[in-house]
Amino acid sequence: MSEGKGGGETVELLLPATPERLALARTTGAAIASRWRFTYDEIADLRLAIDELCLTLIRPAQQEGEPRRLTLAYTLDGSSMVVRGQVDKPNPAAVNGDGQAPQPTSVSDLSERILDALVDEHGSERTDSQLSAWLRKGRSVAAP
Amino acid sequence: MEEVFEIAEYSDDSTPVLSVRGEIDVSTAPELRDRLLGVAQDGYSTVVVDLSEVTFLDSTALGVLVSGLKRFRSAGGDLRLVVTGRNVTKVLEITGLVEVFPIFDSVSEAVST
Repeated sequence: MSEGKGGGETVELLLPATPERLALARTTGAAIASRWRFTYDEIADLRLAIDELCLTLIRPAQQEGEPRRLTLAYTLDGSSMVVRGQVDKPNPAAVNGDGQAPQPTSVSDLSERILDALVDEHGSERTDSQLSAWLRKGRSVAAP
Repeated sequence: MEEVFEIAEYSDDSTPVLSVRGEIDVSTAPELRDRLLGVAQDGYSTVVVDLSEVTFLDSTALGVLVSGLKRFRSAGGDLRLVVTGRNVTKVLEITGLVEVFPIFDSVSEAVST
């Protein structure tokens, strides 16, 4: 656990980018959200949103068939939880020209709808060496 | 830490029922896909998928259910869902799939339709 860029608390998780580890990623996010006093409904939303966020990152890794490492950072930024995920060294062929990870259209659309509905903001991007995605969800009740 | 994932299969009034328990995500959805395929290959055109014991469902699971729906409808039948949990209902609502699937409160209602 560490101080985030904005002075908020950050928890980092490093795990293999495999389907079997998604439950750990979302359960960890839910536990942290609970500690940060998000409501029951907000925690349920975050569990699903974090799962979808991770899916956008591990699907390309699965398609390439090579082991990847998924890094997740959960940060309390003011009254919001920000989750940033990245997969290291993606094959350039695994991302489209617009920097978005390729996915089967129907599932990608469903992921997009779910994230649009559950979080305040989300996005994904590619750098020279990483495929990354992030989301932000606000907390409705101020922590004491 | 992880929940148990199970699919029980039985017939109710000669309609096959897949009763799912646990979390359906990218690691467990393939088993649901295989079970749906097995029901179709056994010659059934309609299936009931009972999600009342499902605690989590993501886009991968929805993709499997939508594919199954297309398969069973193309055979002249249907894929009916039993949904009682708030989490599952919410995912179906926000994706608009609540308007696509026939959804029931109980298996008995689903098989008698």
